[in-house]
Amino acid sequence: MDFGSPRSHAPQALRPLLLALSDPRSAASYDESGWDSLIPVARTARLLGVLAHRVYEHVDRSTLPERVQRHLDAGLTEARYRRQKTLFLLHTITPALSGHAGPWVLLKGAAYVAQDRPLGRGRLPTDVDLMVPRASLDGVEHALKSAGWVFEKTEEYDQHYYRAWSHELPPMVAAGQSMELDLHHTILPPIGRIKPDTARLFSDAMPVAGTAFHVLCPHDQLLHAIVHLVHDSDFIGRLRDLVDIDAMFRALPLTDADARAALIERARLHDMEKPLRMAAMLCRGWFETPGCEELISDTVTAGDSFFYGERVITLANRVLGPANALDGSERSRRRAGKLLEARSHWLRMPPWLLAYHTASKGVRSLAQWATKRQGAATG
Amino acid sequence: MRIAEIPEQLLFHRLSTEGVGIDFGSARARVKTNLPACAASIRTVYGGYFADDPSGMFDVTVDLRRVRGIRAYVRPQCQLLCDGIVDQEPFPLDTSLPLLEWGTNYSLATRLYCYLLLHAGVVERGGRAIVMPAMPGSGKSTLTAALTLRGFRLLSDEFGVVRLRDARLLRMLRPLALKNESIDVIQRFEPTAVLGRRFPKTRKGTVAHLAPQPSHVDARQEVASPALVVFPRFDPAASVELHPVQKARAFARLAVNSFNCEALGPQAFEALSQLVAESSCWQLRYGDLNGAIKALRELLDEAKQVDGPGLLSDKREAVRW
Amino acid sequence: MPLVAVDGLRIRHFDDATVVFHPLSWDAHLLNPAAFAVLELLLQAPHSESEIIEFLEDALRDEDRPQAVAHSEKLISELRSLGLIRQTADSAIDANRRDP
Repeated sequence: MDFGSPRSHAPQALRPLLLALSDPRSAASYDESGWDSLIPVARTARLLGVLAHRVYEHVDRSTLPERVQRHLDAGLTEARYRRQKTLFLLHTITPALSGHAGPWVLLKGAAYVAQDRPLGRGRLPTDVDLMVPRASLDGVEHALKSAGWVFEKTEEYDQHYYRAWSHELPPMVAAGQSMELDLHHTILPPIGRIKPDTARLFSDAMPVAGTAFHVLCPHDQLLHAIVHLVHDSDFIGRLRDLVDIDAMFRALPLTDADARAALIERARLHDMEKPLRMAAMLCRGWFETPGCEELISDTVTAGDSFFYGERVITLANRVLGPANALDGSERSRRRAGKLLEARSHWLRMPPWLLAYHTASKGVRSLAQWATKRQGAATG
Repeated sequence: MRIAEIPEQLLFHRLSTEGVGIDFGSARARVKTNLPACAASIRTVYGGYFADDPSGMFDVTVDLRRVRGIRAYVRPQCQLLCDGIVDQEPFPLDTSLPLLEWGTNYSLATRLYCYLLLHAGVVERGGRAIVMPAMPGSGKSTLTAALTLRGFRLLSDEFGVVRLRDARLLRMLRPLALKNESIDVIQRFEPTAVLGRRFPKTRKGTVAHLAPQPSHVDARQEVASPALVVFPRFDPAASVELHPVQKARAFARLAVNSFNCEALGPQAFEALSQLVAESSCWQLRYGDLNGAIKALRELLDEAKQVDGPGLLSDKREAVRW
Repeated sequence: MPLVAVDGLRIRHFDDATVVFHPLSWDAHLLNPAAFAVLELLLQAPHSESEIIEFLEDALRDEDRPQAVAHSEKLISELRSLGLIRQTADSAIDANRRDP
């Protein structure tokens, strides 16, 4: 797999990590000081397992210092644990799902684990995202509750607003399960600005052999990862999400003109062309991902956007990396972060709600809910 | 040159610039601080260690710094950066060493998935180790400290470091944190013991640190075999009572009282099983420290020497995909 | 429906009890001799509930025999809830895939 070299969008302090991720063979030549800089940054970016996986694929481990091996192994160990817990959760809930119309579609990290694809290796999922048809949602929720699953947040306004405004229920937990279960009925809030074609998400979902589950088709997985980062987050510390997107672009491959055209068409179907373009601009800037340049010129009709354009990218570049690999001051990162948080709240609220500037309970509660969801985002 | 022999000014200079490497045995840290008081504390409680070259690779870099800004005038504070990130709440400026110690322990516990880390005090004699799981009220730290002052060598006060491939105990030599009455007990028990200053008003009460002895520091790369697992229970009303503990139960209590047993899955299961298989397991109820030490010495002598298994079936390589 | 032990269990005996590691949940469980006897039976081959009861009856002392049924029902239920045994019709856990 060809990874290319990192460009000038990334902070200087992050270049060693990006280089090691993009050209793992180069890691064989690092001295102990080099690793000493690299490993803590990878760990904070939650990319240590991914780094370890890529390095071990290309470098004979016996050529690496013992201490380095220990830390790379630690990254893989943590990832292996999360993977195991994910598989255990999926195995446990399978009986509860039977009898309720599917498909039962795994999203994001849980999907990569279930498919056992290279993209999933070394990652650290913290929860399992499962999307079921709206008509089955109540039945599945009930079945899970009977099987011992409970909602973590039980406050009434949380419950109400999740169900009324959102595309997902509050997280569920169960005894003996380390991971949380997030039930979705689509991938973005129904009241939101982007309107994916949910019916096609389901109808084009693909089964995962040996399991009762489906995953989104490859284009939809990629687009979901993209909106999760550029539409549904504040970018802060989310480099690992961009690493996933870069890997998926390469796997397509984005260099293939037909694959690119099909992806753009799919993005248009889901109303996600601008986020797609933005993701390509970010990947070009951070990873020089092949095919991004072409994708950007192919989507020029999407127009420049306030929310998905150059200005946001400049801010995102300052906050994507971990806090222990900054070029600028911590203050400038914080400032960029605050602006991106505000953008995130703005995007989450539908246009018609913004008309209400009074401190009416509805608006404030939604903002609180939006903030709470933001705060809960980890992994 | 040991840290205690380095002139205070010079040590502070090194700590406040590139830092100083400190080797605990199974892990090593690069330590930095820009606080003179913290440097002075380090000189005492790490006196027996060597100040290693700070270049190269370390398992963690810890940096104890004064908090800057307006608040610093109202309530002076210090904070700890671990690999450039602040994980802990700031402490009052005059409580810097406890923050350095607790923060460093936390960093080690969350990074070292290469070992099975039990929450226990571990000492050894003749290469045979006593593992003492840390339960609240056990008096584990006091007992560990006292043992190290009576012919047992320290592996660790906090971490039972178990090598996954063969269940041997490794060293994680760190200053022993003593709390409240324990400090006086140890001071009376051994007046020559090197104790750092007392820090009152911490979350855990008054804390002081016992410096590991130079000869114990010198042994930091030595490996020990499991021989005893002892669950201590301090009871001022008791003298010394020993009760055998079922091995399977000892296994369960050790697993529950570990930092990362669950995350290591099958490797931890195998290593912990081996450790318990080779150990004699006991509950020790004691009010008299000298009596407890004597009892442990006898117990260690009596414990059957079991040959190690060589490599366990799951080698470290199994961690890879 | 016959019951059988799941694949991939790791088992370590100590003098008095047995610890068992589950390859999917990664939980470890403490089994007393009776519980392990049942598990061992089901490791060898699938057995029906009545066969398990008969087995336990034989193993118990005379005075405990009347409780054999209640005992074994409880044991079987616990072993099932821990995922250590399953009905032969349940989907087999692919222990190799879960436990690299």
